[in-house]
Amino acid sequence: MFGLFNKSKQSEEVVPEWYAELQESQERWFSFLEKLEAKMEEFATAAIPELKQLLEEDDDLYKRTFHKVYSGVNGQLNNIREKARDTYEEKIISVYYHYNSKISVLSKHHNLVSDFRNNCSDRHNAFENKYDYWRKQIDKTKERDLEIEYQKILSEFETIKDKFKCTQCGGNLTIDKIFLIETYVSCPFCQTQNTFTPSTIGRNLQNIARELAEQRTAHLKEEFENEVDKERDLYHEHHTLSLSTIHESNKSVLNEIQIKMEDLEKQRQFAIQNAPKLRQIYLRAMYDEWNKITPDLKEHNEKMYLNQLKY
Amino acid sequence: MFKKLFGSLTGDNKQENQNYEQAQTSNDNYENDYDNEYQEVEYDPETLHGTHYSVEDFDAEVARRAEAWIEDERASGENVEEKDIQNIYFNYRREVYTEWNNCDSDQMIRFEHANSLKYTGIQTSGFVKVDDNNPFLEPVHGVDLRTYTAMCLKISAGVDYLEVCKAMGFEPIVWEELNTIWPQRMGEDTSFTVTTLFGQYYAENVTVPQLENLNAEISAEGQANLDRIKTDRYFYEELAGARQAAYEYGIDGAQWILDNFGINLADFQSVAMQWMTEQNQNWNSADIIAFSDYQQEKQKEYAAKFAAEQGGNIADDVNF
Repeated sequence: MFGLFNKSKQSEEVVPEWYAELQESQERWFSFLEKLEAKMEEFATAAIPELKQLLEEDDDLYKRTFHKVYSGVNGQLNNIREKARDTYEEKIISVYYHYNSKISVLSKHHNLVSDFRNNCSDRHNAFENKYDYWRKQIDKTKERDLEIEYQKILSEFETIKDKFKCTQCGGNLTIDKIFLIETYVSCPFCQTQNTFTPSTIGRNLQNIARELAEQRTAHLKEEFENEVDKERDLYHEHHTLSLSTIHESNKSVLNEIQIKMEDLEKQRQFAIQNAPKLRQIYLRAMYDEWNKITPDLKEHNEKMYLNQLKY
Repeated sequence: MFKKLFGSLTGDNKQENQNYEQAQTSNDNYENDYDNEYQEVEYDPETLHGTHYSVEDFDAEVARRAEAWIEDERASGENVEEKDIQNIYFNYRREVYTEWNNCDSDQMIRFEHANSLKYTGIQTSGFVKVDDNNPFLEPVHGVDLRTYTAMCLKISAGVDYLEVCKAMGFEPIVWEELNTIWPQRMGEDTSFTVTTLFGQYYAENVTVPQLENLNAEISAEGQANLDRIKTDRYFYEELAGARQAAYEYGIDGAQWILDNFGINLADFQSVAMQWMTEQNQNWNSADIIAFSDYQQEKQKEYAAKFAAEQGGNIADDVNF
């Protein structure tokens, strides 16, 4: 009887033969993802400077060529990601299910099965993080300094504003502001209504105005977002402290922790109250900038501002 | 999953709704069979409330349960904010509706669509009623939203905007103002009535007498394909999948559809809106999943085709 017991104990310590398959799958999976990551990096590092150059050289107002290529680049990244996902389902999860149904959870070896899954899934997450990273780097190629474009519009306006003449009497008409759409301008000499058609660059002011205003107030947005993050950070810090009290019996230590926790909670409540205020400061500043850039849209923008405050 | 996939189409994906719980979409087959065989509850065609109770009673019951919960939360020291209150009401509305009508989640979603303006302040495509007193719908230079939509349809179908202005009998300058003011109203209207109604008109492919003779050129084949995507949902899903795949391979998808199937962007979008509106009105989660799967499958097929044309994907040589 005792011999039987020992034998079974021994056999449990031996690594089962199916473990080799799990190990092999895991190794393959790790090296597969490594190769995909290398492809991704190689592709993205080659694409980024090209995209930047394309954006600079694309004379089209809507940058259509750039956007087509940009969308194609993202398509390829996405294709790599899908490949990883499909393979994960097909080669890892299916193997896991197979052994999970075969090996009892009471078996000493079951942890080999669950470890396999955890290792593979952690590796997959690491891959996904890399994907996110490259995706963000690709996204950044869209950013352009709108101040440069804005200056172009302003200098164009300076050169044309005094060159517009009345179609009827030939009198000089002064264009007193940047018009965004076709507008009637009446002649001060003969009262004829002249149609002023803004240039393509001039019209584009409407399209870049908001983004330019956002660029100018990005630091305020960041302050607001930091405050939102702070609330979460404080919450987690508070939570960790509260867990630490579970096995603590020393009253003075407990007391100290309690004081710290109260302080954290106070800070957290402050962040909760403060975040909406910072948001309002940001939005107000952003809309002020926007109104400065396109004063004609002020009435509409102010309604949008009030709507946005509500949400 | 549905909110994510289709939220943008139902018009209720706006911020304040993001806090709501996701729609429950799995249906008990038993319930479905039961529903098909025997219609236990009669629904009001407008409000989709059961006719065996009054709307006032329903609202009162929801309020009673929600307020009790809110009071409870507050009593235990919780900070109940406006968005929490909306969530609580939203959930109790679902609970009471499902309880009182003994219905499945599809019926519940249809009910939510029919009442989205009343309960959440946001319109759902397919359920907008035109209110003559809505200042956002006041005509601009005598042009109402329906006519503006008809003009947009012509222009996005490829008719020159100068032609459209001529047919309407006004200066291009008027069009520019229309095309500024209507979009501004869409932005300002937090109930999304202007936007949703524009979409509904777009789906109906509305026209006005002045514009009837103004048509973008369409080939016989294009016309046949257009007629087919209007009636054959699978064919529509196939082209939608193909278009998406095209964009992923750096191809202008809208142009690709025009080149290969003769359907212009305006007509395609109009049909897309038509299917979405139909989907909102006859919400059925099993169908929605089936169509979505079909579109994805087709997207993959076309992606493989585009990839082959471009000499493959960059990671094709990486194997497990």
